[in-house]
Amino acid sequence: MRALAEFIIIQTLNGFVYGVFLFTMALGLSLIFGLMGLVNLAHGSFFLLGAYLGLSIWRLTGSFWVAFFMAPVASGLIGIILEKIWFTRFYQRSHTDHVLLTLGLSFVFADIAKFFWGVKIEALPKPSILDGSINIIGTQFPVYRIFVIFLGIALFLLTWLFIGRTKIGALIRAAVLDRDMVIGLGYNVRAVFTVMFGIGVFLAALGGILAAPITSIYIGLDLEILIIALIVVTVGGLGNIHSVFWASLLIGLSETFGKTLFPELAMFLNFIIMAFVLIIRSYGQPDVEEQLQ
Amino acid sequence: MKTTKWKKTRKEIVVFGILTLGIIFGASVVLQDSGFFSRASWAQAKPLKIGVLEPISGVYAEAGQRQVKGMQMAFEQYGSEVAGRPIKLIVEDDELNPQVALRKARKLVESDEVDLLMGVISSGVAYSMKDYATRTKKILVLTAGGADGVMRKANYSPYVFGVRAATWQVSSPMGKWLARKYKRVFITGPDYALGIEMTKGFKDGWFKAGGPPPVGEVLAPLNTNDYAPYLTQIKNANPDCVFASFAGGDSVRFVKQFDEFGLKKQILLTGFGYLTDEDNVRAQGDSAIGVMTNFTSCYTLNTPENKKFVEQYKNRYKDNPSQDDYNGFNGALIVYQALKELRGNTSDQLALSKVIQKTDLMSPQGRIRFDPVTNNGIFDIYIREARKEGGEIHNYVVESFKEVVAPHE
Amino acid sequence: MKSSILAVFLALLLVLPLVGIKPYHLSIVTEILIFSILAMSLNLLVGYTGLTSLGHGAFFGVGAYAAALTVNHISHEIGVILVVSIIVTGVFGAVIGWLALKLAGFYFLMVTFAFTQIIFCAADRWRWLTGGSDGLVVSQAQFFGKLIFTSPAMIYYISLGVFLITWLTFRQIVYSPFGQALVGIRENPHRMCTIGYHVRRYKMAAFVLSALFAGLAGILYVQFNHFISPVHVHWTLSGSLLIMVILGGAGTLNGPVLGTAMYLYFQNLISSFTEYWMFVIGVLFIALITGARKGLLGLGSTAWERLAKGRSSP
Repeated sequence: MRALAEFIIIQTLNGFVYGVFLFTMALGLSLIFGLMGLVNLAHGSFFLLGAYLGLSIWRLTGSFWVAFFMAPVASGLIGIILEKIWFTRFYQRSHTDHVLLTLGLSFVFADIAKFFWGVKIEALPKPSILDGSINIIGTQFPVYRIFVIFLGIALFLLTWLFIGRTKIGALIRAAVLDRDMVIGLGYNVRAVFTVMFGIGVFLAALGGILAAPITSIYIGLDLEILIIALIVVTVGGLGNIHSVFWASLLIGLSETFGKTLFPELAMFLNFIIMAFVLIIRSYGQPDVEEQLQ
Repeated sequence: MKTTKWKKTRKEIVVFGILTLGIIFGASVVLQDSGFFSRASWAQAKPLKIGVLEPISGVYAEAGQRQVKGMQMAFEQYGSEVAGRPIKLIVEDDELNPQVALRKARKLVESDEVDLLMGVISSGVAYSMKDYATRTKKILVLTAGGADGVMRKANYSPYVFGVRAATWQVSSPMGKWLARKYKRVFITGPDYALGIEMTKGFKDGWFKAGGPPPVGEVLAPLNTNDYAPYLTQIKNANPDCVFASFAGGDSVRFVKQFDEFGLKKQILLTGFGYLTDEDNVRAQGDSAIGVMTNFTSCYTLNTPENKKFVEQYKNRYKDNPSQDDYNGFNGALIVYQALKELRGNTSDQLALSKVIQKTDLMSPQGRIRFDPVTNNGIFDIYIREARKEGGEIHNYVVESFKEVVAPHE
Repeated sequence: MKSSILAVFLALLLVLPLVGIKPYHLSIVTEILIFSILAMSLNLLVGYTGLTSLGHGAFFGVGAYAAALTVNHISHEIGVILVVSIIVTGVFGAVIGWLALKLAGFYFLMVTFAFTQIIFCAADRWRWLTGGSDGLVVSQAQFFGKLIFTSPAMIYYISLGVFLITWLTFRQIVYSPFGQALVGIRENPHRMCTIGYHVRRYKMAAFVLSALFAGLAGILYVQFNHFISPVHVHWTLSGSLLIMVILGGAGTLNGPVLGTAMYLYFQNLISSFTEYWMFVIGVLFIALITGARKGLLGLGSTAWERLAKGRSSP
């Protein structure tokens, strides 16, 4: 009985950690998509960029923390440059166009990454203070994961406060709803969008370097992360950091328990959840015909 | 005003660009036939062309590129020409996709007119390529793609040879070996053909050696990032050893997380070679120490052939060889010897098949012969342990099983 | 003018095998024809009805697997294969369509993506049925007991035949009131509804119809390739299809064909040249999306118009 209780507690902890971990992967995408309405299929590429840049900076400086702070900043700057050249024209275009542009970009990025960092799988070691494990109810639990939980929750709170409680946050939300009005009020909407995009890329890259010691870095990681982030954002719903956070936890917990209880379904689980949530939600919304009645 | 003019000019440029592309498009049909776009360089006498299908792009690019490196080194070392004809490798990217592989195979066979085919990483590609090679009566030397069903008695083909271990050959010996010393085994691995076959092969060896039923068995989806739920499950089942048939990124993560969650202290972690091959060990670091695997090669194998191979590989490529390099190397060696015996005459593919059949080679990984019933290789299998010596982590042979033959059915 | 260009193309296609072209090139053209059928079917959904979907890999795969399993286990007759596979694909199309069509835009895209992946996971996992990730070797089909897919030329002509039938069918659909209604739904579903069109039924019809043709492409494909594996059901195939359709020009009849030809040929060509072929395709795609949204056909027709205008004005 006690073994069962321990098992459930540890698995819940695992699920919780995994959920927050998923949230850090999806955060950048949900900001750019949920807030700015731009479908960014290059999100995975930015994630991978953060990881690879982190790797290179670590190799140059020997310090994990320097890489941890510099890589997202560098990526954010690259994101801003890209925004100025391309993305800025695409805000008014349809979602399909976003999909196509960012898809093309992700192809380009993937090969650029391959060119600079090669095809081998790379490891980024954890910093020494976060290395090692602590004992939780008789199980050894890696300290780094505890760090991930704290950082993830911190990021959630910070982002929520930023968007909900600051002036810039309000500006963004207003600009997405009614761009012309905000311009009319005298604000430089272009600059606001650029900064927001940069922050979105920054967060994606941060997710990348945060995950690197756990997942390792390799080609194909960008695509895997993109899928996960898309699923999380879709289940959570757009426009809302809150629901994305809770969706991440939901998916994290159900995946964790699903893997142990129904291993044959483990592959399907995420997609079934996503399809299920989408369809159920669609029944809550009126059809085109019903809307007119 | 100025903006509309600029927009028009820009559109003109794009149109022009597309038109030029169209011309290249048309011209390329002609050029492709002349072999202009093949990776082969210009040759003097009519070269012996070997078509190589590997994933050069994508997730398995590393494995594919290593196989080519092994092949190239073999030809450089042993002979880059036969009967005055230079040997040219024409490498095509199969993108790990049977559809693309078939397309490229057609190009190699019909357009480039290669003398034989080599390569492949994915088992799916192996199946489709075996079918193609048999239909078009072209020799195919498989250097990976080791699913058990590819080389069986029932689908025997005189044209296709397997210079790589079948899944059974690198899982059953581990089962046999572990059953001698351990009683409680937990089996895990990736949830697709490879993991499923590995589990079956392992159990075959384990049960035949008298092992009791495993205490647990679970397969994880491919590319799982977080093995925590599985590791907790393993710990709960309280085994004394684990057989984990992961490869690639999965093996790096699993071995590391197995260590991080403290399981390595009481449980022996085992798998097949890719769990701790020379590349993955780099990324795993100290977590790999003590992990045992069974495989067809071993970096530290103390034979003259292996020592020479490892040294030459390190000099040539500034890197440590892994199984894919060995496979490419061995495959190329076998092909070279066969070509030499026939003096470069490949017009009779069945004759070439008979010569390859008779191969009895002392390779860097031991003796290699072909099983006449299936055309699959008969290999020496090594039980290896990962140890840290001289600051580097490598695999060391603990025991070997000589001349392991894959089952016919 | 346009019809004469098409006539020339048709003549070319008909005589291709007789001109002494290498079987390898012939097989590339055959593959382009088969994928064009697939692209045209997707175009009905994306270009005409405005529903961007990542689901067509699934229908192609379902049709292909149904055909493979039928010919391997039930009957070699092409007639039986066609009936069974089309029905199976139709059922999948109807069910998924019914579930998915309440959604639109990004959410619709994601739900089709989810379904494609669920089918992919099933194909990958259910080894007893599909051979799993190793795939299935497919036996040859027969027509009243005679093998028909024997030589590259035979396969080519059969594919050409199916392609032409598909093309003519789509031409009929596109110019029919039904087709026009679809365009209307793409542009403004609310207005269409106000005028009295049962929008959902039209969407459903378009969805199932396009699924059926995708399945048809799948049936043809397994006879061409002799092999099927889960990679053909993966969402990346759907993604490539989207690219082919948009590249050539969504919402036009011939756009997808042109896009397919360009994509497949370039992919083949460039990947023989460099391992960084994804980069090249990505760049091409970005350039096209940024500068020429209507695809190559759109570019072509704009250029044509301008040339025509230039000639007529003094």
